[in-house]
Amino acid sequence: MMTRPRIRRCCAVLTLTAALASAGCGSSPASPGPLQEASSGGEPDVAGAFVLVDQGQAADGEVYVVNSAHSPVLVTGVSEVAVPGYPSGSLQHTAITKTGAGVATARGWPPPVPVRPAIGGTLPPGLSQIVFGFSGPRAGQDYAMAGVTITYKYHGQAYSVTAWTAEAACTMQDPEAACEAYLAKVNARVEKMAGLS
Amino acid sequence: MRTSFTLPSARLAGRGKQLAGVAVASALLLGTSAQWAPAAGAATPAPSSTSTASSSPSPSPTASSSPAATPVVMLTGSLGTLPASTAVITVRAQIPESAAAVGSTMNMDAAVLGTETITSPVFSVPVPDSATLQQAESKGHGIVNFLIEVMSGTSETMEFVPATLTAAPVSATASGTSPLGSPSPSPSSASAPATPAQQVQVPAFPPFRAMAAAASQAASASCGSGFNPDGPEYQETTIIGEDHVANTPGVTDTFEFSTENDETVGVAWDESGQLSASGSVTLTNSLSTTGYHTFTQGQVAYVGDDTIYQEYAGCLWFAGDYYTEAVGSEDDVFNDGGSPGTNPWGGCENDPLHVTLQGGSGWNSDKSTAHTYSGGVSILGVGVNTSDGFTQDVEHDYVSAEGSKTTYICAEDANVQPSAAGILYSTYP
Repeated sequence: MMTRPRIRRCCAVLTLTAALASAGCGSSPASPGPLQEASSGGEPDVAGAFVLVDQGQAADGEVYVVNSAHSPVLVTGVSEVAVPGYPSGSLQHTAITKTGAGVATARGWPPPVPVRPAIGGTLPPGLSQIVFGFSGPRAGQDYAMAGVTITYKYHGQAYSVTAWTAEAACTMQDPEAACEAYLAKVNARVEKMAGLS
Repeated sequence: MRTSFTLPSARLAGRGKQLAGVAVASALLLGTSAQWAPAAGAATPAPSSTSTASSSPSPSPTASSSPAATPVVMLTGSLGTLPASTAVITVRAQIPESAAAVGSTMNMDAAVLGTETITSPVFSVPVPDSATLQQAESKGHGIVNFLIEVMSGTSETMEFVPATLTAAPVSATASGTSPLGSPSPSPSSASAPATPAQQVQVPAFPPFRAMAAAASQAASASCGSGFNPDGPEYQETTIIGEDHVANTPGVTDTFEFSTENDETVGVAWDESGQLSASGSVTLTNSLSTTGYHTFTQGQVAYVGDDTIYQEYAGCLWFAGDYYTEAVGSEDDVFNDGGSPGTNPWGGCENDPLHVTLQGGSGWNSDKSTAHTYSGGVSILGVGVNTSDGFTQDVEHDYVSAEGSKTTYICAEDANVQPSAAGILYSTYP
């Protein structure tokens, strides 16, 4: 018998609360906008990824969002969501995928899929992917992110939404197993942040 | 009105696993008596059409829905040959209680979600939006386990049909929620077009059997809940998913499985109380197990689990009815072999929503969407309709060793991103 610890998920409703709280956007209306993190069965799709990178090299990840409006929304900003207790590095790059092809994870920028700039870009109705690259300054240090907060405008109103994903950028000196274990810890934390555990 | 009763919980001796308690609404029992007893009424042909549908049959309790509500689900199928000239189809939903709690019970809500009187074997039962349906969907993490009963003359058949609802209920659509990639109508638009009903194909039913003489049976304390354990628990290998790993050195996928929080239940019955040649078998939300198995280069196989089942036999109005429910697991996940379908894209790179996985990286996805198997898969030795049902507890961990070629991960279905997929494929290229 093989077992290993797992975490339990619970209320997805916390996701929206956390998203609005973390957005810190005082000008945003109280009501949620048309952009939401992609979800299934009423719960957000939260994936996790790790990648071994050289110092200063971007670790790429992505989130999926759904525009439920009939017209595009305008992206005005993308900011990282840190994982408490873990070095977060800094967000270096953001983009919108052009074709639907995405990155489970990748190293370096641009990512190995066609992209267009996120800031000032529009998200059409339906599913879109935001790809991002982040890195940290110190050699031998692993970094993590919990997702991104996307600020956007729709019909002149400003909104924001947080899309969760557990991302770990590990130094090339790490064995993959060590980075996978690091991701497991990050993933558990992020799922709690997303209201899934 | 919704009431329930609970069968005594049991424990797997020596395994330490908490097992399912099974609750079936007593109102269902009573409602069934009202519905099943006057079965002669069901034999009255509809005068002018082959099919009449209603969301508010009398005298059973009904789900609260608008009489003119647009159906959000359409259950369609065929009954083969009707024993009588007409048949009445009744649809209810099972509602898991406290999905986050281990050892919780399951309720069968008494409310009737939809009915149809048919004069030909082909049926199509509309299920309108209702509080009951939304509750079942919410507590089932997107899966609604429909109980479909059919009465024709003095015969009956029934089965559970778990369905992952993809279309948003009408009320949810009106509040701005919409299915993935499908923009919802404007909330301010009173004349917004209705969302098309989700089509759910109902598998073949077990053969019709003689209806129990409900009216002649007095209530009995020994009957208890209406269903009691029948025989000992038994163990069967159950397919709970499938795994696909690219035929590239250094790529692996760990399939991790926890039944906690899961739901769906099966029914299988015949005159002798043995598993019949049809029905469904799935798992309940009452289990608490975790296991994993790592699949390696080029492996394409079903994933199995040693599942513990218990058969329940009905009494009173359910006399002659049997159903089987998963009540435990050996906590294992293993390569069950078999030959699941090949990559539908011919290679994940052909899926517009594929994602890349470079060497020296890993990606995991914790499922929030179940994959429902339907036919073609042998479980318990019978071709069944079943669901892996594990809305949030099947996790894939793909790892690509440093120096490995870039591989691709994709979903089975079009327009579904891998992080939301029930089945994942991994290929090179």
